[in-house]
Amino acid sequence: MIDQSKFVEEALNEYHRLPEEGDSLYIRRFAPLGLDIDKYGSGRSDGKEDKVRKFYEELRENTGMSFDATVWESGCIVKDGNPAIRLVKFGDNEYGKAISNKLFRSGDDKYVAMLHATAKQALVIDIKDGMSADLKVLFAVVGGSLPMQVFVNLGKNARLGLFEWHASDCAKPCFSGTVRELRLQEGAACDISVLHNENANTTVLEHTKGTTSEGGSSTINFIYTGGNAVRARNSIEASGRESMVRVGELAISSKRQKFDLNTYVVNAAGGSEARLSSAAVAMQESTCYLKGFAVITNGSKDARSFVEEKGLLLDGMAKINSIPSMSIGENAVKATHSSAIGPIDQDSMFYLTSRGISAETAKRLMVLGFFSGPISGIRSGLVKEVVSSVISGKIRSNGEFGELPKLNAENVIWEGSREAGIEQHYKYRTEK
Amino acid sequence: MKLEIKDLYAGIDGKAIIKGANLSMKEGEVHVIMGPNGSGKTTLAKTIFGYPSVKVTQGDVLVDGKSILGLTTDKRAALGLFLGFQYPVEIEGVGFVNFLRASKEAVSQSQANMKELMKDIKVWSGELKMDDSIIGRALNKGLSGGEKKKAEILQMILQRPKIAILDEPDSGLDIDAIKVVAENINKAIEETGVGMLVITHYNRILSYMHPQHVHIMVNGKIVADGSKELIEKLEKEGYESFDHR
Repeated sequence: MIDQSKFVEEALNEYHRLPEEGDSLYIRRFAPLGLDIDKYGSGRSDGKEDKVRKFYEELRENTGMSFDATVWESGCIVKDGNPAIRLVKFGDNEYGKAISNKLFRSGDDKYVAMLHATAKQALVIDIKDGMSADLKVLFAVVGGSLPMQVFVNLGKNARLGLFEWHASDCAKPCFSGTVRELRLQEGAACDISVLHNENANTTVLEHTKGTTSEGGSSTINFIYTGGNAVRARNSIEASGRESMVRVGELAISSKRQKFDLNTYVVNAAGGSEARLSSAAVAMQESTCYLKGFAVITNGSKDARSFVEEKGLLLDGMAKINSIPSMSIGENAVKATHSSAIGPIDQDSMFYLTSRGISAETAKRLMVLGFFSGPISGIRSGLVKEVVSSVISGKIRSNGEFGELPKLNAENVIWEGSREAGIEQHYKYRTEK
Repeated sequence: MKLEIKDLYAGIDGKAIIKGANLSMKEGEVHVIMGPNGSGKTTLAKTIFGYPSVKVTQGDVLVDGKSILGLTTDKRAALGLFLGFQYPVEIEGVGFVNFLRASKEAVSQSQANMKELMKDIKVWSGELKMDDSIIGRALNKGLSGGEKKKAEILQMILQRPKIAILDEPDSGLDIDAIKVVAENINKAIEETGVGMLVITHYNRILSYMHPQHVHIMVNGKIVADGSKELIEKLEKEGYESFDHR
């Protein structure tokens, strides 16, 4: 049984230890996103179940994907009473607000404070020792705002495949916020993909904290495509010996979207490996900040840490800022970082179009190609297909986002797949 | 299809490179352009395809009597033109098969039959003595210079153009590979009747081919036209004898 109070307290304490958050230079340069929490609703949205059902059905029809749980502002449906998932309601006792008032001080991160203060429910995914589950969860904001806490606990040698689809259909300003804690015991492994495809009235707040015990492995891919602004503060730690953390960030911004992605990968034990791979494509007047931070703590001998950030600008108005950083507290480690941003290569465009491919399709192919690394890291073929379709749809529609996509990941084969994989891919697509 | 280059002048960044080039060829014909380094051969090929930084200042490029200079690169290819690159570009993450599929669908304006495409790739990559691991790769990624050239020929065969311009299909190839590439070019000509404009520095690949027309390009101009005998003259006298600047 999870101790909610302890969970929140630990999460927030950990959050405050992240060194950049209180830094005045950071706040001056990167923190302002123009968010005004006062304009958002309280998170209450009763009587929206019919709308959610419609949303769900449309999504299932378009993609063939069914969800094990659907969560919205004031409720949750779990398919067939899946024992691995349950919803904890905080009720009306302002539990979250009390916690946040206690922990947050003036000048601290008010957005995460807001998530805690307004959260009324938490989704708990609990996989017992040696067990495994493959789950898909839909988070739908259909009118109000969704401040959500997700707690994932994997017992020893447990396995979890999790796909979260965050969508919204808000006519007024709202937020889709998630505070997520991942706790992996010895030998446990998770493979999590989080897709944010909210509409233009939605501000996305993402805050994930994870720990991976000895011999465990956490693979998490965040895919940011929707929302008028995305503010992500994530910290994933390889906590135990020989544990491994792989975080992928994939962002495609358009219109006037502002993405501010700050992710820490932490080596906190000997022989651990932490890897952050961020890829952003920006178009029109959008802005994307990639702020990967690798931390190797004192005593983490033979740790391996990699931070890679790359950006592709589709036109002259868009901006990508890449700021990879490292803090290394141990000598006997291997740590590398890289960063590269550039426009679409003219020669590549010429090569593709010289084969009769239109400039629009060529651009789409190159964007999907650019993302092929992070997409390859997603284990589920269907999730790959969905993610590729959302990206492809965004390019095809000249930057529109938040629509429920149809599967249409044309021309996509992920690098490294061999003949068998290709035939299987097309077989799958034909059967669809 | 008839391709005509008429009194063409073109340059890059204000520097004139093509200075009054003329050439005419039809589907089914095999032409060769030979010339020293920097004579404008590659720029001529890029001009035909509308490379963005090449600016045409005078003259025209016509397909079946109509100017193609106002068309985008993809539209030129859709007419049935193909360009085999001297330095094929590596493109991260774009699968070779998907690229072929997109290209086939764009040119034919119809849905590609994946089964047939895969079969064709297997057959022709075998003919070209290529490692079939190319199938699972990103476009040209990690291929040796020779493999890239073979991949260009493979693309040409699968795309079935009416006229193909091959920019130095022999550079970077060993002796055996040159023979394999030439044989497959010949096979494509024989089976599909494609017209071929081969740009090269060297005689070696031509010893396996049967060009009907040879053009010598020096300083941005076609300075001599003739048959295969012109190559023998070139072998004996070098490019200098054609340079009358």
